Amino acid sequence: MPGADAGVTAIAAAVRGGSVSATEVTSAALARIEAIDPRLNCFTSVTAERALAEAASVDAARAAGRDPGGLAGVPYAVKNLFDIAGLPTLAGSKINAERAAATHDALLIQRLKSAGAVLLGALNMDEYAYGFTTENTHYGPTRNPHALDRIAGGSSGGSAAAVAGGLVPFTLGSDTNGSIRVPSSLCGVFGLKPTFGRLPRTGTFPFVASLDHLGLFTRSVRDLAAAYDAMQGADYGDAACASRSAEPCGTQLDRGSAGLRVAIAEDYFELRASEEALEAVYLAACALNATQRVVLPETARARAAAYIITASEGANLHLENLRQRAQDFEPLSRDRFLAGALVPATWYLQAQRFRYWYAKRVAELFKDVDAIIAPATPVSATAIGAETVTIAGATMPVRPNMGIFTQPISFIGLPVAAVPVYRAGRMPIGVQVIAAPWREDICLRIAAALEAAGIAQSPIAAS
Amino acid sequence: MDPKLIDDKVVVNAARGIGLELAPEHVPGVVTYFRMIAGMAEIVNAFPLDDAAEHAAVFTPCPAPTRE
Repeated sequence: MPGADAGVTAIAAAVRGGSVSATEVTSAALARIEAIDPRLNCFTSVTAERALAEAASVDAARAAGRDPGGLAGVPYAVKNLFDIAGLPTLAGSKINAERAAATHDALLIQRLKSAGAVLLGALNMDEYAYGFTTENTHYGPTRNPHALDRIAGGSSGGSAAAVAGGLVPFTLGSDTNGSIRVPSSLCGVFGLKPTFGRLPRTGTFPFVASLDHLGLFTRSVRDLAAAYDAMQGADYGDAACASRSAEPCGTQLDRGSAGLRVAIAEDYFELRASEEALEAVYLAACALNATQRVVLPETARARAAAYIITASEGANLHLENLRQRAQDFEPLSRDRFLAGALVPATWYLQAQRFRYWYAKRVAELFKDVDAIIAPATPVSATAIGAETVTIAGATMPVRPNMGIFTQPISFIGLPVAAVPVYRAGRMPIGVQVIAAPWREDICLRIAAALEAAGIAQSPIAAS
Repeated sequence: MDPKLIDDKVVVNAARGIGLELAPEHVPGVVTYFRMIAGMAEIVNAFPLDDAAEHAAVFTPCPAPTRE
């Protein structure tokens, strides 16, 4: 019977091989959620009945001699902005709880079901994904499994904490400005934010359509590749989804990082990072023999432009509710939404024009390098409720600034693997492995090399 | 817009212009965040872009439904 530390590929192999049933795996995961989640507050809904039915279907397929799928019997859960048939899609809000239940699953859930994975429920997040801490006033804060008084990061905080706490071996999340990479870093798990337009967002609740990405969390790179590969493929239901065929990465991992040119991002990233964030980059760079350094041009301006686009599009989406019932919004982000509604069109359009300029300039860097390493967060997890953090002598608000290193990268849609750099006895912190568009394979090969070197590890937290 | 020019009156009137009545208890937070956005806009707007710098969002025409 695979234990809590069993990952995606190990569970799938055991279920496919018949050494354990999907029903046994599912029942064990449900028991872990019941025992541990009251301390972490990752789940907003547990779909036990559905999960056991899906597991029984996998077991029946195997018993009948049919292929039960590449992810047979693997339990997982999704950020609660994914549609789950029969549940309202909360997106972290009280307002959406009044909506009718979704009638269909999000497309990625449908694809995972076809691969034999078993959905266990929906996960906590910052309201409407506008935050980096998952201190959700309506549903309570998600706690970091490595230190229960600390934040899990956000906005996909429930997704990262559920994996770090060993509740499920993989989860889905979304990343508009850093919402996969920030909680990956703070909870010490692997994350993948693919290229903008890679994974279809069909059947998910949007935040900022120009910037929203879907992705996932696991505790190993092989698991990351296996679940990611099962979800790839274009879909016309998402206007931003590229019409590209699946480009599987799992078969690429054994190639290692040999021959790849890896550079360290300096300037903006070094000036704003704490000692521990710089240490994480240093450890990763040493393991990869990376000595080249690059400067991403105008990075502070890119972050500013992403901030404007986020404020404007996010507020526009919710404008009618802001007019009618602003008091029902999350107090920690309501005033940001209201302010975003006032953004003049010319600010928004200039930010969108700058975005294209910046994307072209950064693309030129990839003539000389294959990947860039940068810190994922400026610091490790701060205390729940903390308003400010001091970095390099400057005191700044926690909530908008946890994403200062992730925001300029998602702004131009580059694929990123968030890699947890292991430092025994200390709080987790991660690095970003950034590649050119559509080169998720390079991100994952480098992440696998760091994992093989022992630099990157994601042990289950002893929560 | 100079962030220093943004005060309660500016945000309340701007909000009213788009049919958004701000509750008095929300105004200080909105002023804070609108100043922050205005500061970001100063940074972005100060960057010279030539006429060929296009908007990053590209419209894709919708194909007509096919006849069954």
